[in-house]
Amino acid sequence: MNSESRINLALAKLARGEIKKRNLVWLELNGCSGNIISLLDGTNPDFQYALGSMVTFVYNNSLMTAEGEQAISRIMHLLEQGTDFILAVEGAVSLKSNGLYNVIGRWRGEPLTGLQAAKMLGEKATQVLAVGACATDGGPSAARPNLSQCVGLQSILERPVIKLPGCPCHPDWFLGALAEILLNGQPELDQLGRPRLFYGALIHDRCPRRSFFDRGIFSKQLGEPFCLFKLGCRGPVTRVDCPTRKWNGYVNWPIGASTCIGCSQFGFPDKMAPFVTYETTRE
Amino acid sequence: MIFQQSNRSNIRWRTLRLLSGQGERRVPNQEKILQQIQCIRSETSYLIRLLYLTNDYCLKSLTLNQLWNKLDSLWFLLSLLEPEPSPSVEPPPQIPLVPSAPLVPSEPQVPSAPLVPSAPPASAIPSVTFSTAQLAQYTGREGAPAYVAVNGIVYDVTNVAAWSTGTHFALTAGKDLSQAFSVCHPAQQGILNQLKMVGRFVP
Repeated sequence: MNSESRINLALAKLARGEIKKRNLVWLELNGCSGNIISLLDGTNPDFQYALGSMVTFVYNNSLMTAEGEQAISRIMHLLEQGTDFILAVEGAVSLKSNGLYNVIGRWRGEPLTGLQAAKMLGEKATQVLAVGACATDGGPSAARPNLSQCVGLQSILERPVIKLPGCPCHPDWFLGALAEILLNGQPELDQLGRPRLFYGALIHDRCPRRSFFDRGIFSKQLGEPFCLFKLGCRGPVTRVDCPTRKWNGYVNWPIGASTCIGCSQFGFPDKMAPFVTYETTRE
Repeated sequence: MIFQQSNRSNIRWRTLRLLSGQGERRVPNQEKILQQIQCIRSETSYLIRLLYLTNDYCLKSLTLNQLWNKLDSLWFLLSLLEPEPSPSVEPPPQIPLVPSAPLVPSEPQVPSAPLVPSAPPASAIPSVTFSTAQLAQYTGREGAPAYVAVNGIVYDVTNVAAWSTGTHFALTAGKDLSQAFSVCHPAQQGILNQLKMVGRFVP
């Protein structure tokens, strides 16, 4: 089924009342806000469509107008009512000092840690999505020396978490997974909990520079048009659809200018280093 | 744009289901495979014609992705036509999401390798020996080749795709990586069998 027919199907079901707008709580923990910024750059569909037709944003600290306890009260109200909601989490969960290295707000005068919020909401949500490298596996927040003892969301939740690795997560990966949840209840996942729709193919297998690898023609420095394997490219170990989806309105992607740094692979960034190196192997 | 099908195993199982009929498990016959190949050929021609016509970035990317998928389907169908006995048709493994499951990185698939291939015969291993100190020179840096030792055999990973610049998931070449291999790739001798052997490791 192509995208247009899926959207039409979703709209028709929405009009008939067969599917309803769901509540979405977007929690930002130990991270850089990169994933929500990436989501705002989405184009097909865009953020406005997501907000207008797919979900009701109950909470997001970067976008909502409420602040302080007034903002936190929206989460608490949702939990008290026992209302159905989808939880999206960006950023890693900081464990050090019982989570006090990442305080996301205050409730009744007490600090509310990211760890508390993630557990509290994660246990009650209908579906949980880990958005971006930090939420999926700790990502840059958990990079050495990991002073705040950051871990991925799955480490603190005893339930399935849909994982959308990437630094940041592509808006299509999030909105596509969300659309699958709304339409079918659950996207088809691989063994590591990633939607097969987006994380099924290896970057290396669909790279426009692949033929140079097969022929052993390698770039010696950035800017050359050949295979970037000798400069540290992580395309061969990274599964995601960047080569054909592309970024920034589908115009370019990392290989267009430099190496793939494996940002969508578990273990990023420490296990993907070095990103670029000139201390190369022989040809 | 979002819903590009980019899943090779999906295609495989869809095709297998199609070829094997309603729940019936049998080896797909050649005629049906050839029909599928013909079908893919006409779909591919259509996609190529579409690429000529469009200037739209979205459609171009979507079409390219579909072409890749067709190529994967063709590769799979051709593998079915190989004279070797086809593997029995099993449903895709339903692996429950165990929350405490360790987050190990996915590894390149080795589809044609048997489940637990045997180790190479001793005669196939070059007689050159490497000590720990000698092996440590082959780091893949500054023009040196990248060698790693696993279970007493030294392999050349210089131009192995997953070993860019002599590094692989924070491991570096020039070392005995037997333990790391057994943890990350248990019972996956097939991976080693694809590598070029350069000698024995005698620490």
